[in-house]
Amino acid sequence: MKPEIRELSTDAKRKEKIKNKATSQPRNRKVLDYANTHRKIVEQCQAGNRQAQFELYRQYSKAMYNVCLRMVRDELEAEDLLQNSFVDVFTKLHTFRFQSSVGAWIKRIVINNCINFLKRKKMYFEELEDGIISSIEPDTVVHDLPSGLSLEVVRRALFKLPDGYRVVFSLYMLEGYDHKEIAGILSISEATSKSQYSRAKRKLRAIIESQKQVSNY
Amino acid sequence: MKRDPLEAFIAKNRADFDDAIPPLKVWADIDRQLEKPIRTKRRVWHALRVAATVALLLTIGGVMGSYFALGTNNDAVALLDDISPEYGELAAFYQNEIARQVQLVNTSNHSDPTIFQDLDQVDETMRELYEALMEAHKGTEQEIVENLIRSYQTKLTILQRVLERINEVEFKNNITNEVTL
Repeated sequence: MKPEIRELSTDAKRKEKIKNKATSQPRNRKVLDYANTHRKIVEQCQAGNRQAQFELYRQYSKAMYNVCLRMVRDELEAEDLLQNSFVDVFTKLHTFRFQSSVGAWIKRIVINNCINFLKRKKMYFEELEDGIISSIEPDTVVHDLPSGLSLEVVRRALFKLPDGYRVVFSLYMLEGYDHKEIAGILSISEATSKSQYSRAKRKLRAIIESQKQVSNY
Repeated sequence: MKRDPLEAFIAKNRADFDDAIPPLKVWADIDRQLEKPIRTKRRVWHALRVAATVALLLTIGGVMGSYFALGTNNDAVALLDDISPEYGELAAFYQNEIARQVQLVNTSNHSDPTIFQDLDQVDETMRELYEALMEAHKGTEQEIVENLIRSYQTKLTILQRVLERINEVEFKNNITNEVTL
């Protein structure tokens, strides 16, 4: 309902907007009652109905596959993570209580599996654990957008970010989590999340600029 | 404060960041993984049927089967594709996978024509479903399509079980031969 929307903070609005896009939900339905989106299909899945499970997979697999790809940067690993995550989804779905949207619940499972994968691969977060988070480094300067910037350039640059930067940046900017939630997901402090995001953005700009110099896009 | 233009650019183009499409085999693998517990609880009849087929396979053995009706069917794929490209892709995937598995069964030394009698029954059901689909009114196809996909999965499951047993038998035979020698 509209009055509820007006009460949301700017950050909450941003999150809601991103989550709506990322999980391909019809926006109006989600705003009205997003926790109950797909209730019928979820209940059928909980009863073990395979057609319903396929339908739920069909609805969310593309968005979740892209989450996996951004997190691990490898197609085969992303496929494995998607597969294992949906097996987890269907075997744990009886615990889902419709307190959030099923899309958000699925996304959290996918992200947790990706994080665990990155931790196992030991290619993770050295830069987060350096213990030198002296300041949060807020971006007070508004940087101009590089001219001729394309989606592909940003995507390539994002893939070149170190794991820690890329994960925090993706979770905040693309998956719609706020820093408090990211802190919970990654078991870091909120300040660390903010700091990493700020550094990631700076690094991303630098990569984009270097790509521009090399290829002129 | 004015929003960072890079952030604004990403937010504006957010949906376009999700352009990669997962391969269809991911669902087939999920389906296979989910099959195990469900089979023991809810598909006793199906399991017994497959087990009977495998038992026959092991006792008769050595007969080469031919099963040409299981090749790809472009009309069926096109029909599903009209309803949803994803269904069309999924049907094509299952058809190719089934054809590949049939070929493997046919080229083994333990193939058995009775397997294909079971598959014929599934095929007959699928033919009826396709006929119903052709006559279905717009918006009423969903249930039929879901049953068709389920039939593809059943065929694939039967073939996979048979191949697993063939591999086990061949492995045991190899061990026995080595011991005899």
